[in-house]
Order: sequence, then C-alpha cells, then structure tokens
Amino acid sequence: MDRLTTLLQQRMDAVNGRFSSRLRSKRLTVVLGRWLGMAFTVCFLTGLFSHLLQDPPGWMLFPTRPVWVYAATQGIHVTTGIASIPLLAAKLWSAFPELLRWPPLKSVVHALERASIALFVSASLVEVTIGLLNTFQWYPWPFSFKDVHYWLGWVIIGSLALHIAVKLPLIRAHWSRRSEASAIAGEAAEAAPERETVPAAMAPATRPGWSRRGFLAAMTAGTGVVVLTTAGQSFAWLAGLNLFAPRRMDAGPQGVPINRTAAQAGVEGAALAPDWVLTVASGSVHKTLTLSQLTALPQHSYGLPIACVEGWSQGAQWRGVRIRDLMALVGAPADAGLQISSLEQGGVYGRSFMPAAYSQDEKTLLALELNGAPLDLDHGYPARIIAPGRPGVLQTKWVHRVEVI
Amino acid sequence: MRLPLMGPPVTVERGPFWWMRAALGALGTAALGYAVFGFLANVPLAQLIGVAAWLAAALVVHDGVLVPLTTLAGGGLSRLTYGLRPVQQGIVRGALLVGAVVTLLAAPLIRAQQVLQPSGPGSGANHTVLQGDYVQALGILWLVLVVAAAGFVAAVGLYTRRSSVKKTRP
Repeated sequence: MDRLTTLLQQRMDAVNGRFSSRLRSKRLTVVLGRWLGMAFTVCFLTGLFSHLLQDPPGWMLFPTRPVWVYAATQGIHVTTGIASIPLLAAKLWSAFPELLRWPPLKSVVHALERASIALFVSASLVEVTIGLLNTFQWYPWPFSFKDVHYWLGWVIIGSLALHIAVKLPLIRAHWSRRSEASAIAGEAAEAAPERETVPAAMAPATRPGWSRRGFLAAMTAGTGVVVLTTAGQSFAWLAGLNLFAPRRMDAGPQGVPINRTAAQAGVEGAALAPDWVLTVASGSVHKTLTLSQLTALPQHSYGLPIACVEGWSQGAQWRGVRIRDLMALVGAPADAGLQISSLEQGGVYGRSFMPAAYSQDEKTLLALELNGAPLDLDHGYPARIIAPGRPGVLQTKWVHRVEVI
Repeated sequence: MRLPLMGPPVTVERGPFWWMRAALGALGTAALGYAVFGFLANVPLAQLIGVAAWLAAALVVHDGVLVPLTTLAGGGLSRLTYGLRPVQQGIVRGALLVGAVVTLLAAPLIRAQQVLQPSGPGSGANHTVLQGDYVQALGILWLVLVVAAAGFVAAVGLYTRRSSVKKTRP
C-alpha cells in the first residue's frame, strides 16, 4: 500500500513537472484573480439588476432616469462577461498544477474545499459560454437559459466569496510585489535559516520563454482587443471598432436592430389586418381605438434607447401616445399597474406587466412611429411600447390590449 | 481508507482578519445554499441533469483538453523560437496569445452564423444578428498580428546586433 502511494505520488509529480512553467506563480494567480473577481462581481450585480427588472419583488425600485440606465448596465454586463473569458482562461491556467496535487484528498474539509473549487470552475466556464452564445441567440443546450444563467450566477458569486475566504492569507501575502518578496523571504528563512536566499520574485528573468510581465501585458492586450472589438454593439463611441459582436448599431429596418421578427412571432397577418384596434380597459370601462383615432390623440416624441438583455442597444427617436393619456381615457387610477398584451400568443413576449413607475412617466409611449416613419412590421407595427430604462423584452411589440390591473 | 475530518490543527488568532474570512465564508455558503435551493425549486429535473452534464463536460474539456494543448503549444514554441532572444520570444508568444484569445471568441460566432442564418426569402431569420464577415475580420486580425510580430522581432534583432558590434581599428 505504501509503495503504491509512493509510486502514485512520483507519477503525479512527474505529470506536474510536465505542466510546470516559470510563469506560473502565486503572484500571477493573485493578479489575474483580482481582475477576474472584479469582472465577476460587476457581471453579477448588473445581471441581478436586469433580473430584478424582469421579475420584480414587491420592494423593487424602478429607475427611469437616466433613460439609458438599462442600456448602460446591460452593456456593461455583456462587456465584462466577454472580458472575463480570457481572464478566466488565464486564471485557471495559472493555478492548474493545484489540480494535480497529491494526495488528492487530505481530509474531509480538504475534500469539501476541492469540491467547491470544482463547482466554481465548472460553473464559471458554463456561465460565460452560455452567456456568450445567448448574445448570438444560439441555444445548443437542454435547459432554460434564463433560469440556469441566473442561478449559476448565484453559484459563482457564492463560490467566489468562499474561495476568497479560504485563500485570503495567500492573497494578502502576494497582493503586491513587495509583500510577495517578504512572504517568500519569510518562507525561505523558515525553510533554511542559515542560507541567504534571493526570493524568486526578485530574481531576474534569465531563462528563455517570457516573463510574468510579458504574459500579463499580452493578456491585457488580448482582453483589450476582445472588449474593443465587441463593445460597439452596446456603446456608440466604439461602434467603429465593432468587428466581432453579433450585433451592429444602425442595422436593420429604420436603423434599429430586431430581437424577434414578425415572422418568428407569427403575427404578420394579425398586425397588418385592416380591422386592428387597440383595446384599453379599466374594470368595466372598455375603449377601442383604431390606428387613425390613436394618431388623432396628442403625439409626443422622445429620443430613447432600446436595450436588449443580450447586451446590444440602439438610440432612436420614438413618437406616439403617452401611456398615461391612454389610462386617463378610461379613468384609470394613476398608481395602477398595467398588463400589456401583444398579438403574439404565449411565450415570454406575449404579455408584459408595467408598474406605475413607468406608466406614469411622461416618456413612456405607445409608439406609432420610429425615426420619423410609421413603425416597421418587425419593430411592432401598428403599435408598441417604449419606456425609459426597461429591458427590451418588456417593450412589447404588436400591442392590441392595455389593461389596468 | 478513512479520511480525517480536518487537517493538522492550526492555531489562529481571532483578530479582524479572521472575522473577515469567517464573514466571507458564511456569506459565500449562504449564497451557494440559495443557489441550490433556486435550482431545485425552479429548474425541472430533466433540465437539472442537462446542467450537471454541461458542468461536468466543461471541466473535462477545459482541464483535459484545452490546458494540456496550451502546454504542448508552449513546448513547441520553445523549440521553434530556439535561438531567439527572450524579448523576441516574448513578442512571438504575446502575438499568438492575443490571436488565440480573439479566436476563442470568434470561433463560436462563426459557427453560430453557419447554424442560425438560413438564407432565402421566407426563412423568417432575423437579419440584424450575426451579419458581420467574421471570418474575414479574424483573418485580417491574424495578418496584422503576424506582420506586427515579425516586424518587432526583426527590429529587436537588428537593434541588438548593431549595439553589440564593437568598433575595431584596422
């Protein structure tokens, strides 16, 4: 038994030797971990905000100013998510030999720690992968994206806190180059008090390959390139560099991208029907309005971004009837919430709930025009909702019923 | 073989640092517990099995394929760039790393375009997504990286050769 253990240990050490690299060090892991930890935290918070806007708890506050608040938070969410892909790869690479440590399990607590790391790593890999593919609207997995992406986010943020708690002494020892040098000198002094050792952190890079600084510079450059060549789908000032994002600003009919076409929603016939009317209902009061009657009501025009959960956004000029004016037509109380129904049947887009924070906002419109022309069919003709600071999935298209709840 | 419950005991002073670790650990454990509860309450069993399969596959593909490949590539590079100065080797590795990072993101984008963009009238496809020429963009990026890296490597070679030449009198 003992001989077998020794043999296994030697074998694992040999494998570990194959993976050894002068570059890998605790200091490198700490530097990368800092960046990745920040990216994950920002991603989690912006994602949580988006989730709470879509499934609001009773205490939720709905910010409507600045009007681009959701475009900004969701653009940041997707951009930091993309940035975390190379950072995650580098961080895992730097700590890879930890995977090959022998013996694999020293105690029950150690086993739990390793299990939590395995969960952290796999959850992070899956989360960034499905998040990226979701921005392509590509779903090659057997589960609901929305639920799994959300709950994996909680797995990751919990594992991150636990990981920092476990590793905090190491993180503190290698936080800066000075602290690392003293930590290594301390370890060396403990190990060999009679010999003077030069800490590895202070030793010049003389062997071939490349230095930690070179590697970090390349990682920074790589991360910078993927951010700069994709963030243009969310932020107009980077639109000129947008080479690798699935979305382009100013693309699509009337210069606005589409999340879901009329054909995909199966509403072409109903939306173009000449007998289309909008029904506004409050209790027993019902009012129907034709498109020409809607056009005869006071029209208001605002520049508002449409921002998708997939991270892309687009500023546009919208013109239509204020939702609060429609509510006044049926004598609805000002603090009432609304249920908006689309011609699209079922699905997540078929209906949306609008809290009073939006329905009472002067900039919340039942839009009939976009960028100076009647709405394109793919943008929700004959009428759609546009509100400041809301996720695009709640800006219901092809509206046919507005109901006070 | 029975595992001990804990490792060798370590005496720790319960200062602010210890409390910070304890608080982080407690918060992390609570968030993990909430996540497990959330998964069980909101995701059907058949989907949970799918999630577990994806989590396991991610570990196998990353730890078993991707990282070993980077190690092989690193070893190959050391042989290929043997004789170059450390600075030049760093330039070559840096350019390759930047290219690899962008390719890692662009490859699924190109694949998604092939899978999701059926052409022809009446396909109902959304033509405001995945409309870039990503293959061309990736090709140009690699070309720029290769040319820039070659230029820098050559410049470093020339500069160091010139500075190492000693003047001698005839």
